Amino acid sequence: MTNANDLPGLPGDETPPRSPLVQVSKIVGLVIGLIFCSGVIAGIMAAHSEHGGGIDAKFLAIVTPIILIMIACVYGLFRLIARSAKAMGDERLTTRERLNRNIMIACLFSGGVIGVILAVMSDNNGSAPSVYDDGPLPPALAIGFAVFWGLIMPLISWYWHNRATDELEADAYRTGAMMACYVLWIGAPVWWVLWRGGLLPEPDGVTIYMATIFTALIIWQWKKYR
Amino acid sequence: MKNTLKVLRAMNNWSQADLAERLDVSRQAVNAIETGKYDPSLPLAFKIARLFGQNIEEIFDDECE
Repeated sequence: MTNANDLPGLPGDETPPRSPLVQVSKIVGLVIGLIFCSGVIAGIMAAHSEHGGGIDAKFLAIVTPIILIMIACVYGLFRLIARSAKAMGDERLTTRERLNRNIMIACLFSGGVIGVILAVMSDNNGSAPSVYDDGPLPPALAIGFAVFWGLIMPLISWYWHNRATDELEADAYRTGAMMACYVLWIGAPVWWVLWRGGLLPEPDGVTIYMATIFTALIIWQWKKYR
Repeated sequence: MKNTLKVLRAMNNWSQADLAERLDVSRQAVNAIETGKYDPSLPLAFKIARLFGQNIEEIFDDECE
């Protein structure tokens, strides 16, 4: 039986990226860069507010390069996505792919809205509340985030799993989730016993949480686009 | 798993997007099946077989692994 790898490509065929791992690493790197820059901006704004606030030349000189780096990261992400689409030859998305893309954009937009809310809060009270730390949150904000993660995210996820994913994506997602579980089940106790032995600092829930998230994300995308 | 999906697709002059739309999956899924990186579920394999009017074993060959 003929193997598809032995056959020449047809018009409109998807050509997998030369090195999917490199491609995914670039995307993850740019996303981490964006998150890092957002944190830096939030920190600078908080410190600036503590010292009276106001926009002056010094503030702009510090903030502008970081904003430029963030714009470069966003541009880089768009270029990577556009290049992937071009490599596919046929840029027409199927119905499921279009729905999948729209849900992802909606999630990214939600993340942006949360970032803006946090930035606005940091302007008001002089400290920058963060989603991923153990500092206090205003009750209204805490309820808002809890509703978002506890109610809206499960609904979006349920819809995404049932309507937007196909079996390849579901399989890739399951594998990513399984690996993330192992990171949690193995990584957390290892860190815990090493802390008890005085070899590591106290286990940090946010770090473990982020490690599981990134593990799931990387494996999921790698299995989908390899 | 080796298969003749790409040949069948070429005979129908369909792009991966055309076939993906007919099977209600993504282009990545069609590509992964064609290149043997992903084995379709039984329901999807039946769907593919019905679409091309063939038996599953005429399209997929598990003895070549």
